[in-house]
Amino acid sequence: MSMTKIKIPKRPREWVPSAFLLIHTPNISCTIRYTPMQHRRNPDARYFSHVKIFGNSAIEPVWETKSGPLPLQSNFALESGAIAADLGIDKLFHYGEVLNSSPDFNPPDPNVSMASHLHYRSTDGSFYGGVSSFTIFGAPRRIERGAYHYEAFPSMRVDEEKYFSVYIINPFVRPAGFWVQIVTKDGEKIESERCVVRGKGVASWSSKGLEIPRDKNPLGVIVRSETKTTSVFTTSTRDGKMIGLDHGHPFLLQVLNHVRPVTVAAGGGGVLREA
Amino acid sequence: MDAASFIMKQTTNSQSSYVCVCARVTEEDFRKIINESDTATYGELKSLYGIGDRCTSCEFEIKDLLDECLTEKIIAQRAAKLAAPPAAKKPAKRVSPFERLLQRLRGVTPEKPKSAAAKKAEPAGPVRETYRTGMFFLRNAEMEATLAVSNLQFPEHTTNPNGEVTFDVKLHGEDGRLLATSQKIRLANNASIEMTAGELFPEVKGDVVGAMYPEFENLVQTGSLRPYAVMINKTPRAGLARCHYHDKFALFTDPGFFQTNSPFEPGETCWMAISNCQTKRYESDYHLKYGDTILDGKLALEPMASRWVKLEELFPGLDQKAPELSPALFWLENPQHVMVYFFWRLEAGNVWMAQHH
Repeated sequence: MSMTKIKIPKRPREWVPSAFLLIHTPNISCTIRYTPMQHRRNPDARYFSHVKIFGNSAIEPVWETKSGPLPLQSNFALESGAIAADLGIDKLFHYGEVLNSSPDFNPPDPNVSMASHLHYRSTDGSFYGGVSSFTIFGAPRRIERGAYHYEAFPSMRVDEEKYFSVYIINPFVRPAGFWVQIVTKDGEKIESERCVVRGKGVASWSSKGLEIPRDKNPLGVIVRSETKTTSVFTTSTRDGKMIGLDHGHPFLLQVLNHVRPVTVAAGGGGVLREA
Repeated sequence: MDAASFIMKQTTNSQSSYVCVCARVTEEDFRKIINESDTATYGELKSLYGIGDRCTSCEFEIKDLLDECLTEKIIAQRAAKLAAPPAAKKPAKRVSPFERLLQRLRGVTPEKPKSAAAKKAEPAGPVRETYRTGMFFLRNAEMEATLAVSNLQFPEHTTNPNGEVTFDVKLHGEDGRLLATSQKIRLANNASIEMTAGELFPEVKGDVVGAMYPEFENLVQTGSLRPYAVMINKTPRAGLARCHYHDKFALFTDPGFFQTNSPFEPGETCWMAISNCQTKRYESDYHLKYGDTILDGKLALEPMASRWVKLEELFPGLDQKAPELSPALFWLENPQHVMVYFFWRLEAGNVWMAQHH
């Protein structure tokens, strides 16, 4: 029997949320900032930001706020200290989600989320870095998926001076098991025991207790996860300074064509809907 | 269905009108597909409609919805059969429709034979392509960028489809001129490397501002090969750094809107690293907005040229201690695709951080 394919209408893209790690202690703070000056810059459009912070419940946020209409060149800023004060606690290690959107036009290409930017800082250098909020939905590229989801990060170091940590962000309501795999310079594999990140939660794993000979460095790092979690990789010195932070990438099925690139169709993006 | 099981059927609690955002398929579309075609597996939904095939975030929701729709379809078919007049007796089937459904859901249905046209359309072997990409590069008395690549085998594969990979790296300087091309570098399966400019380009001496362009040959897939640069401090006095920042190069004609919304934070100094990865000149107005104030300037980069600049140098006379500078917004007006990174040095901790845009 041949496979029949049903025609379904091509529908407009819609704005979707993205996810972030919220961290706050007496020494560490972060700012969450959204500017519409990305994607397409449409001076006549209205933009909105809706931020939710999740605690024990994967369904109901413990804190949320909505911006009013934001003009194109605005910078909607939230401070972790203010969120902690609202919640009546002095430490945050929470999952955050932000839906940045415009009611006036649809996403013009497969990048269907507008990111907020996270800027972490500390009074002692123990947590420091900048990263965008992470895509949950929408992908302009095909990622490889097996029984588990994977993200990789190249050339980390675990030696007498440095170690790395991984921060796992789970945007789904389901809890997820995850493992951190280290692939040494010569291909030897070391895997952590199973850890769990709860639904709409964050978790961390550190290589601080590991001893790996210097000549086995640099290390490839892979996060194996039961759901499509996102990972942030940080490098720290043994005396507690964070000196690097960036995100990993999933294994990509296709060759990124930077030689003969295909432009993503704009699909009418940036054109305001009629009122 | 109770609330708890409803929650567990959800992938996220996002209020999307689509069951698959990437394929832009609503629940109504999905039910039409299941009811009006013989599509019955997650794999078929992926291959025929692209549902669940890209970001994969909807996977659990799609599988649950597929289960639900197929069960409803079978119940409806059975009800229709019972209501219909009795047909001539057929030989008894070995497997009931419901059992077949279960087999399909478990993925044990044998593959259907492919048509001659489908067989003809299949490629003879994997297509191999060139992957050329780039990152900003810096070497001075205080800081140096290294190149970091890991050729990791997908953990569930028995082999790495790329096998051992071969690549070289071109280094373009501040004015865009090609300064050097590295020797061919071989990277075995599951191996990682980190190479300094001294190892990659021994003939290049002294300070360099520029960009590295690795070019991988004959790849089947990108896999884990997206390269990073790592900005490392050469002296403790320079501030401690081991900042990974990944490749950005693409000859996209899509707009690339570059900005940072933390350009002048208290106790931090921000640098912009910008490389024009195109073969045409880049000219742009740049702006800084804080409070109701907007400052402007102009910036130009020749083809393949780069610049490493402290943001405060772009705005002479700016009072960096002005409280309204946090939050501020810095942006480049020209959307021509270039590679832009921002680096910050935190005075209190004597550490560096990087962010790509």
